Amino acid sequence: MFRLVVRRILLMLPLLWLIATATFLLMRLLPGGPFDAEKNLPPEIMANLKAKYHLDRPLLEQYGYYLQRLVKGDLGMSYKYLDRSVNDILSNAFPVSLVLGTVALILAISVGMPLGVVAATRRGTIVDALCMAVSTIGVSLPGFVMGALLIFVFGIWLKILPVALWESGWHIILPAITLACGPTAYIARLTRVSILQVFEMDWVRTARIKGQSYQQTIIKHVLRNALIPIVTVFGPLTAIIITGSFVVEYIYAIPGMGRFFVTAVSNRDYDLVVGTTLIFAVLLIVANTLVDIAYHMLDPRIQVDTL
Amino acid sequence: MNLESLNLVKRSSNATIYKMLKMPVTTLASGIIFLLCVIAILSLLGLPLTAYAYDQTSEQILCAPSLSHWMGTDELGRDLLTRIIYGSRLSISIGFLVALIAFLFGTAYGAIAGFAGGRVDTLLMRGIDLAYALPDLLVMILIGVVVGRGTKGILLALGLVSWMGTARLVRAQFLHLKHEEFIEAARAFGLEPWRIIVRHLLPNAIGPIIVSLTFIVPSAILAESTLSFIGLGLSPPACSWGTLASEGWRSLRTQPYLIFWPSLFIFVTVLSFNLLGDGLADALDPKIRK
Amino acid sequence: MWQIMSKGSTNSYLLVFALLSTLGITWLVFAGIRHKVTHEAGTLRLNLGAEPPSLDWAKATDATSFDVVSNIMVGLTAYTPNLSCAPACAGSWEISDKGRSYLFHIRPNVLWSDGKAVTAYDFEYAWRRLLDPKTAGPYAFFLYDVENAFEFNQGKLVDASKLGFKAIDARTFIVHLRRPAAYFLYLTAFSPTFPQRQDIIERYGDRWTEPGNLVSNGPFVLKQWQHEYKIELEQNPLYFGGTPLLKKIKMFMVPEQSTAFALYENNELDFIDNRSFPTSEVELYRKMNQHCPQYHETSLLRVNYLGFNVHKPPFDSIAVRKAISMAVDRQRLCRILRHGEKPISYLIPKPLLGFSPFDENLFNPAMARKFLASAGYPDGKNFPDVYLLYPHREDTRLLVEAIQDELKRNLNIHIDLVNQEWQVYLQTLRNNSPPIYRSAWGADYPDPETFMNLFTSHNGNNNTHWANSAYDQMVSKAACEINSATRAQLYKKADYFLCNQEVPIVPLNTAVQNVLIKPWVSGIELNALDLQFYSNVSVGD
Repeated sequence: MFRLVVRRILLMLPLLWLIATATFLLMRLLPGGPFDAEKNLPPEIMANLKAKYHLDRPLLEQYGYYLQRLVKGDLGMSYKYLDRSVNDILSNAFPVSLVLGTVALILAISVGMPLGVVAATRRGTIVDALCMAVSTIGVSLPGFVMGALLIFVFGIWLKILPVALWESGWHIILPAITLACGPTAYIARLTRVSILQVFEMDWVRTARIKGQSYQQTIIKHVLRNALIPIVTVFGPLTAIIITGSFVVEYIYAIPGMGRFFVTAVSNRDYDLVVGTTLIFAVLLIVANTLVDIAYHMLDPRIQVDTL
Repeated sequence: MNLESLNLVKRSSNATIYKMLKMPVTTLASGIIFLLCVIAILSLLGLPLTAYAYDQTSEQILCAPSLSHWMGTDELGRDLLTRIIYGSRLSISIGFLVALIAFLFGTAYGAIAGFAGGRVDTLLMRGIDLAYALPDLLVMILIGVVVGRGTKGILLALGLVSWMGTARLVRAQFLHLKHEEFIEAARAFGLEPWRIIVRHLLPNAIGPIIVSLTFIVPSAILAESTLSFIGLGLSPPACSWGTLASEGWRSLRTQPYLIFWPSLFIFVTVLSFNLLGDGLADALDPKIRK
Repeated sequence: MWQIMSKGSTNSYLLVFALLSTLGITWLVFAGIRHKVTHEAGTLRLNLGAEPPSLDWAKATDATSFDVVSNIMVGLTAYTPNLSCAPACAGSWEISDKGRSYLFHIRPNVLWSDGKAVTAYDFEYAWRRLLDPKTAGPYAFFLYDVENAFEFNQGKLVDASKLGFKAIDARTFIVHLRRPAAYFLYLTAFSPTFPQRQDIIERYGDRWTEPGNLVSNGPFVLKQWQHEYKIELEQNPLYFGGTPLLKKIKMFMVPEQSTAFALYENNELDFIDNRSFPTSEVELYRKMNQHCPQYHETSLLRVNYLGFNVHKPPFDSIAVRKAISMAVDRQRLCRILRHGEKPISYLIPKPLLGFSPFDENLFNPAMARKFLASAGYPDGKNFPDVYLLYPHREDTRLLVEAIQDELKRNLNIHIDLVNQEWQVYLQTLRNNSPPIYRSAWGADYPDPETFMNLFTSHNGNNNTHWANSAYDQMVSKAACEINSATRAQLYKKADYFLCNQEVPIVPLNTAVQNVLIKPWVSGIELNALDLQFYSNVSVGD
């Protein structure tokens, strides 16, 4: 178990290094940045940049400096915000996105799983079709349309919730719901399929024949094994929530990492782009690692096809 | 030997289609998709389906739906229905092309990984892990900025984030099928690896691959509309459903038809593909009985 | 398999789930109804629309920065609501030497927010810094009327003490102009000439504009700056004009117009202007005008125009530029924009001196085609690929799409549209001006000079790279002319030269400011310069 954890963490490192390198190279390709020769910035600023980014050294040396910085945990300086460090900016933005994402995740699981359970236990009936329809709608509308609808209904028509910004606890509700739509549908469908698959398993039938009560069967075996695919897709789920956050944070004017990423790219604020990319990558890798560990803990025997 | 395996494939595909047609929802979904593809193709061929051109402006700005403009007009007086039909060619072809890219690249990748096994497999799987380690939209935005706007950039960006699922699936299938008897026999027979892959493994793995591709199309369409909304989609006057929907977003309360119609089309298309994929999955899965 | 399951147990699960969800939703609705989103007395909430690129008023160049700076700082003079100059830091002044010398007497009771008095040395330092070539401030041209200012800014003169302004003592500031300028007093009311604190800037360097470091002398102080999200201003009890009625101003940065409008509707913003007002809503409100007390509009001294980079072919050819100018139907553009804009043919807007009325005969597609053919592109053939740059804002997209369409229909040429986020757009304009771009210029002061000298050779905001000494001379002559009738004629001549003969720009329309003000807000006064001052605003209950 411990060996597994260590092994997975060790695997994380080369992955992160690859991503850092890829981002470094991509940075150099992006047009319009401090590294773009076309720009004729005032000499003061050019000199400043050269000193900071060691632009006059060969590429390999620049790469070396870059890696050194990253290892120290220093994500660099923001080009746009006048020497504000990226660490500083992201340490304010990260908790916002974390709160939003976590609430959305909890919403998605608490609505998605019951939907899936109900659909699976009522397979072939109208209830099944209805539940699946509701969840499919969640993945069939673009995020901004869903956001527009929610803002209109709850903010403008009913006027009971704040429609944007991040000023109080109430402000979490609408964005979290918008963000949770996709994942809810995803979890519902997944739960349904995996429960159905488990039903087919011989040992469940055996348990029933042996006489265990229905409820015990459900609780002990079916749900527990239905958890496995949920855990498995926790990785991609994190990815979905991260990407969803770009649009949601943009529509609802929330100062989270997703919004910073989008504006940083438009502003060609390189260190900020690299910083956010790396943090997202770390999040995903950590999520996937946790998944692997949890997966092994739950039951190494059961094979579940990834959807 | 070859004949036998071919027969196996044929029989099961017939059975699949038969099973699918028995499901009303799936049939309906396929019908809708077929209709949309026809419209897209007709539009691509340049056949005028309405009385207007997609970039034809007029003085009838922001007219509500009427007899002369079935879906109303936009802020420059362009007919919305025409623009939606024009948009269908963009949105649907983007969807299919991305699926094609994912298919070609993902299948090749997964086939090599699954068939070769061992260290090659591990290495390639690390590659997939790497690809998964970055969120989709992030990669799309970065690529979009580097390559610039326009269909090429979007296709590249969307393709780059969609191939992993197919690759994983193909690999899993190949790993599973690799040990079947008829493959062993083919190997004993001395057939070259690529022959085995293409003529024996692939046809039997094709089912789940098609199912996964059916889900890639709608996600590509949605991703493209999200990119448009952020401002990284196609430049005017080109329009896909995504750009139309994001342009209409601003007029939600005063001219709701501007966002309603494109969103409806996106919704119906995506829904149909999802239902079709579900139906295919159900039809192909031998374990789940009807 | 599923028949084995007894209906009873699934039902109980369903029931529990349904009950929980109903309870949850009911609670939410009740709590939501009780928690009504409403305003806070004494706090004004508005939308800046974007992050200000810089709060350093020696470097700021756009409206978002000015909106903040105008409320935290005052200069020698300040604008009154009808745009005349009232004494601010300077209690009085004397003009002598036929309008070439200004002597300002600084009031003793104007304090910085850290308690120190505002002195003439602060102005001397600020003006030197503005003109310092190392600062690279786009507004350095503002002070070019001052003796030796131009030479100093161009790097030809190194000794700052030779500049034509001096702090004689802490309370006396004298300015010598190289030629009389009727508008000079206006310049002292605008942010580039505001005083700055040498000790603060030297201590904090680039970070001196962060809250906590920044000291200011205006009605409000910078309390908090959450980047890309909001700026909070707090009332300044040390303000010489008396503590303002507002306790706090929250300036949010919501780039999405529809979101901002929804915020206003939902009582989360108290006052919005064009940045938060989607065009379709503007149209609705304009129709309801008399019946809606919240709606106000005013025409602005602000011009939308297309600029060419005259160094980039094919726009190095006057014929091509003229062709484009004649092929654009400004009246149609105004119909499409729907805010109440007016079309213009010349740069100087009404009601300034030198205004020339709109001439609809200048829209002449046939003539435009002839010009295009004479430049070597008959019927648009072989016209090179060019792109038009515009900032990522809703109303501009509509404008440039309409222009793209006009050019296609009337000249048969295709131009690509490229948009960039506001700050990147500003930077691109300054560093690598695109072939065509859409731009706007709002007057800094109510005088035609602010528009005309924009396109002189040395103006930091002239992104066309068009430099014409004949034009420079015309503007210069008009600037120092005393007689207003003669002055008007001179400006008209220059305007005609600019917009009809050389055409480095295509003026399109004047802008209108459409605002909505909530009933509990009072004291907001609109002016044609689109400057927003909140020192007299109050938010009641």
